[in-house]
Amino acid sequence: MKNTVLKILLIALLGWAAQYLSVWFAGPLTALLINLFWKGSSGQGFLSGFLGIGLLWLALALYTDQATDGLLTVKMAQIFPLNGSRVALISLTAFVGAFTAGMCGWTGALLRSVRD
Amino acid sequence: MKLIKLILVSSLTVALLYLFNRVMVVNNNALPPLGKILDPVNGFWANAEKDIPRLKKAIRSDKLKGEVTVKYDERWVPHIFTTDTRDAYFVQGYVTAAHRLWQMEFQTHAASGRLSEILYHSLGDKVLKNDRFMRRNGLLRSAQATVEAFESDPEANMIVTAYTEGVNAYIESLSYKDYPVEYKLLDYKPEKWSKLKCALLLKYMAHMLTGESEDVALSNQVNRFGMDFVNLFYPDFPSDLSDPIIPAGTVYEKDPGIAAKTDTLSTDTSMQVSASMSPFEKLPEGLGSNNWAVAGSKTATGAPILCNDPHLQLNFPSIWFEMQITTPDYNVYGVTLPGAPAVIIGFNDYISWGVTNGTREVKDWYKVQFNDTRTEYLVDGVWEKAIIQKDTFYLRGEKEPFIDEIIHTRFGTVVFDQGMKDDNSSDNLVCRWIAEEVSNEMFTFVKLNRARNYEDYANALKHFNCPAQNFVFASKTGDIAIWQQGGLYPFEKGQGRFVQDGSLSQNLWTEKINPDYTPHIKNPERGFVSSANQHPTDAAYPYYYNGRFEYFRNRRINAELTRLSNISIKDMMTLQNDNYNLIAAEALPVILPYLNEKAKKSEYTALLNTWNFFNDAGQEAPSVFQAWWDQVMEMMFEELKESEKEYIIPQQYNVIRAMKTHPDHVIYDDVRTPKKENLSDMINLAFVNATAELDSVKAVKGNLQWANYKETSVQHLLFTLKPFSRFNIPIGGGKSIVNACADRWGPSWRMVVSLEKETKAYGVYPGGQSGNPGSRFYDNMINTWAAGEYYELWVMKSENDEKGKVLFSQMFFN
Repeated sequence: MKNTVLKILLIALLGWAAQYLSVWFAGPLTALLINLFWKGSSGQGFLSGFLGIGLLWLALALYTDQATDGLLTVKMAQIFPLNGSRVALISLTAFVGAFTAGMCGWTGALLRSVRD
Repeated sequence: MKLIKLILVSSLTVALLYLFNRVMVVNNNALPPLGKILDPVNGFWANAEKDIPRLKKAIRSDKLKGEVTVKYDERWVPHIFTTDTRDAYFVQGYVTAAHRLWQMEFQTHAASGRLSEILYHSLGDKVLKNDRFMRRNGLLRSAQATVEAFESDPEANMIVTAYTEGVNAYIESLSYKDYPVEYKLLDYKPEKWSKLKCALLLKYMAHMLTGESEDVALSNQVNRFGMDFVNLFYPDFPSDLSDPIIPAGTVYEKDPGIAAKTDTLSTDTSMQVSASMSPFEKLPEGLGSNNWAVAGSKTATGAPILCNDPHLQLNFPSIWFEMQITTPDYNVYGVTLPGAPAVIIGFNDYISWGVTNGTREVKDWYKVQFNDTRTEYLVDGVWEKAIIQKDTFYLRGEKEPFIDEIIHTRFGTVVFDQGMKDDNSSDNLVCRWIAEEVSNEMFTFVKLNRARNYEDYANALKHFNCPAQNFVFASKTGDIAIWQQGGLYPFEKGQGRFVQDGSLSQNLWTEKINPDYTPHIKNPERGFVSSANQHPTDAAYPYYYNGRFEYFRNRRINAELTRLSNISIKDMMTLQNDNYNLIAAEALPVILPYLNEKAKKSEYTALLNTWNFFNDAGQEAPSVFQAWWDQVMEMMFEELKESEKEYIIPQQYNVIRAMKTHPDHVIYDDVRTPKKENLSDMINLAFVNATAELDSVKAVKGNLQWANYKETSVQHLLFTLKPFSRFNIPIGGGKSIVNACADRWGPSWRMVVSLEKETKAYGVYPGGQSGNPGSRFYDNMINTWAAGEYYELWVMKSENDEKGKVLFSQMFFN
């Protein structure tokens, strides 16, 4: 349990840095790499990626939305189209990050177990 | 087992990453790359701005000579302070790009027929057709010629080079994260800016202002309805009307450099134009621009006041970008066109100037006779070789580009033929557009920015060729002036009114009239100059021109300027926002008496009977008049639209006059019914239809208030991005009203400049300084504009003159 939490935190932190320095999928790929080097079950691999990047994207989107009073969020939530719902767009953002990173984490864990 | 699982999961992961990284086209809708755009670090979230736009505080470039300071005020207007003129253009380019990059590039893509490169995957052949039309119209070719004109002049070249370097310095500093949100939504990248793009931007403006030409339509209508019909509804000079820009009765000199014509010109009006010619797209009638200047003798302060409000399509990002540029040589404030150097409309420490469209036709159509393979065409009985050019269009999402074959003749380029817009036409209509000539319109603005007196203004205008513009002028020394400048040719009477015979070389234009002899006037007796797209002159002007001129606004403006004395800035603001509907005031007395007894008792008629003819936002009568009048126009000219030929609806002034002078004309008959309708039948039927329409509008919207009925909107350049637009803006006015605010067009910049010792200037435009929909400066001026209010235009005396109004400072240095 403690391991999983630490892994999630590590993925979130390194994923954040990776995305700042590079492109969007650098975050999810961090989940792959961490699970490649830090052995764990397939389930833990998926969960750590899903929550690590999912929570990171959720927090960042939520922060931006709040800090800007949702000025752009509302407009984008109509374009997407999510009926102008800020909550829906923030959730979609978190889910896209989470799911991609979850799959990456799972792949990382599997790669590790195949190598072992 | 493990391996199979790994292969399965990893392929799924790769597929997911791939999908989320690219555009997906579903049912012709292009979905943006989900992962890329939703990334809260680099995606659209990075475009959401907290208080002020995110800009770099310090910019270093080896292209700069000295230091430049830029101060952004409370409305985010940049005030540029530089010690070097070249640096000023560099920084103008940089600062403009930092706020309007997407718009600048999108418009140049549109102008050069390259929108297919970014939109073909979702819009398909529709966008390709548009691109082909733009190329055949010659925008790209004329922009290329303009670049040569820039490069042949050291100063012009310095200016566009510096501006281009400034834009590129900004573009080079960007990564995906910094791209305007439209790039992220459409998933493409900005390309390098170039001198060609500066030229394209200017040509795009020329295209917007000269899109229409009557030649083809009038030729068709002469053939269908006869010359009497054309002369009644499309007269060159309406006999009962004379309120030209240069006051009637002015005596004109002929240009001594133009030899008297000896040739008899072929103005054969029976030129047959193919029956299958599809109608062109129509621009809304009654929109243009207003400008005027009143002399000190008529103002309260004794100093001249200059006003201008150009009416353009109401778009986001805004068409204008406001700024102040201060160099040791000049200090200019006004609005710029994103993508072009210099201030276009504004004032400096000595003078102020503004523009309206000349509306004189600058496109001439010729019917050219080709051989079967279209490799040669006949001129004066001799076959000449046509220049055939392959034109390539790259299509997004397609491997193979589209190749168009463009045929050039010495009369112009084939625009409409069986391959373009009109698949059945056997005709080859070529268009000659004055904007295709080599010219350097930019110089006019560069020189106006630095002008100090009337002579400087007159010299600056000489560079202006297309489209003809009415340049209004006022100076602190008390001069006022107006000049319609643009390429003008010594046409014979009637030449260029219809499609011309392209087999005779004498129908080509040759010499041009010296700008000293184009219509202008300085300090007229009446104490003001003005223009609102009407005739530049009365019929006494020695050279023939044609176009669509009567928009009612000029007569209202001139009546008000004549009436007013002791004029204040407030009076001028009131006049710019004047909602008096002169069409209604002239049309209603003609059509109301025809109403039958039943219609006379209608609640709608009651509204009209008590109406003061003002199209104010909250009034209901303007909606009633508009609904009725639209029906009248529709029923009167339904036969024009019955044919598949290109047609043009007469101007409303000529329609009202015809109703008075020709109440028995056959035009009032509805050709779609067996009954023979007369004028009275038509007017009553129109009223019945209008009543039905008004009833249903009222049922939906709850009332008939003019602003609700008219529905003014300011829309994003990509119409599909509705959430980036503003709809139902509460504003009065309308077509052919001084406050020319229609549904999609209107006053794009209102400016009032009082040239007192210390200049007092006011302005507003429907939008905001930032092109970013995630910025509060994107649309912050809309409500002020709609309310008819203004901002005081703050001319900073020096970079240290902050008055607590500076929100952000930027430094540029080498």
